[in-house]
Amino acid sequence: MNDRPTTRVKKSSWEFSEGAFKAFLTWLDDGTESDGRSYLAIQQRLTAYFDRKGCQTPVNLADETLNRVGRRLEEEGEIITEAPAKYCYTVARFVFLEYIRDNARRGEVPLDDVLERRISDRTGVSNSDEEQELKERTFKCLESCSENLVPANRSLILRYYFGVERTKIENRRQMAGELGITANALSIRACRIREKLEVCVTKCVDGK
Amino acid sequence: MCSTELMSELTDRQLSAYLLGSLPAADAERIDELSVTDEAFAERLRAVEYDLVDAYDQGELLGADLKNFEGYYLNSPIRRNRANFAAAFHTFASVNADAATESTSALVSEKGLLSRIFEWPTLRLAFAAGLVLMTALGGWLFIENARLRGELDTASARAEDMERQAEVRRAQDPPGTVKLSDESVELARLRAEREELERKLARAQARPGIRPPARPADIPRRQAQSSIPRILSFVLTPPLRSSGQLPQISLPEDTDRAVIRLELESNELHSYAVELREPATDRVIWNTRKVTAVRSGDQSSITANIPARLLRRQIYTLSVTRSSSAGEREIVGDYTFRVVR
Repeated sequence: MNDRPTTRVKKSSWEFSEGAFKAFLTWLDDGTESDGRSYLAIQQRLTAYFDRKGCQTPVNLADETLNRVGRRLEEEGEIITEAPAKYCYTVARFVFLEYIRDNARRGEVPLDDVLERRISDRTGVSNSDEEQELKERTFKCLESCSENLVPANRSLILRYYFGVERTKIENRRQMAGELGITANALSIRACRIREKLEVCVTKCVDGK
Repeated sequence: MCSTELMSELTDRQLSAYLLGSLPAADAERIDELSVTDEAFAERLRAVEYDLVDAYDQGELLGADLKNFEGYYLNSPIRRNRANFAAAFHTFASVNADAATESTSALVSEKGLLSRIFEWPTLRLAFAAGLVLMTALGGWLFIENARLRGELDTASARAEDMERQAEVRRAQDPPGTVKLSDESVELARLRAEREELERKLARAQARPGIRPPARPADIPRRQAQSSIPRILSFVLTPPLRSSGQLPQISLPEDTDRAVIRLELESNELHSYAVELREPATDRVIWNTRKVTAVRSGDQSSITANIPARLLRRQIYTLSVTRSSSAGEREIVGDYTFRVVR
């Protein structure tokens, strides 16, 4: 499975020039100055979208989507038909449909078979020493990454995910009360910190 | 409908179903779009996803949800990594539980819980009266408890001493000799006295207010401790063919989780699945699909971390299986035990 081409859609040969990228960021920010954060955020959301759709190379497909949007913007000077994020989604849907069509045209292994094989790979006898080593590495990375968090955030995330079932629920309710925010706002705050931690740990485990 | 309305209309349950691939296509498409176009929605979806992954890791997913999680959600390296991260993160959070409770205490103290209580004159008086009453009651119960415990210790020591002496004499007597001496009668009396004292002590400890009254400085800590999950650990040895007495685990009502370590006959560090069944109905009431064995000395074991609320006063079986090289489930053992509450 690993020797297959990584992206099923036809990759555009177009790439962002410095000027095109700046224009793209300005368009994406839609009047605000995000310092590139909007770009990273939409790239992340597109990657998650392709991943949920079962695509094997979600990061590449997200990049391909943004490249196509960038090219259109450079060619036409502006895109006013839709809001930036909505337009990115429209292009992403086309990229996804192409991905599906190209897979079908190549007559490759049906998706169900792939899924089945992956499940059996996962539940099969694992190399426990390797698994144990990975666990230990992950734990060490968690320790170092959590040390890098702002103390208040570290404390918040430890408390938020502390306990199980009713203890956890009660703990969260109490936290939200203390901080004077809604349960939903607290959940988003904890989620953002966890996401940061997850990204840091993933990089650390991969040795990046 | 604008995205904000749609976002609030969607329940967490629907979002979970979407993540598990079990939502109808039309609904899924609306969520697909929102997940890219609406940043706030994407964050909410991520929060639901974390809860889902946590539920899987903590063995709380059952039935179709569990099936879809393993058959659909985990079919992506990114999401598998997320599940692995969750497992490591929970261990990390448990290990750092002290830090979490310390901060709970700190936050509660910061808010000045007591000082806010004392802003109310009536409450101040009531608190003072309560404090005097609790001190008196707590002091009496404390003394009574200590007295009973002292008597129990003395009775136990005397009984043990007599038992030891009787044992020595039995060894010295010729075989087949049966004696009913005064010592035997005294020993029986001491045993009865010890049992009676144990009952009294248990009754005394069951009385409310047995603990000394709280000092103001203790209150935040006490509150923090009340949110600490109560976890009891047990060890079950490999099941034997001979029918002996069933192992018994005693769970007080306020227990949150029962952590049961299952010792394995084999020393291989496989990955195992564990199911908790009610033998009477053969119904699976809890399961976990991937537990890696750990070795301590010559003994390998796996751990089942079961929510205590699932365990009632009856007999249960923990069935342990593993994947064979042919990919089929292989039975490793059934650990049957009795729960006493």
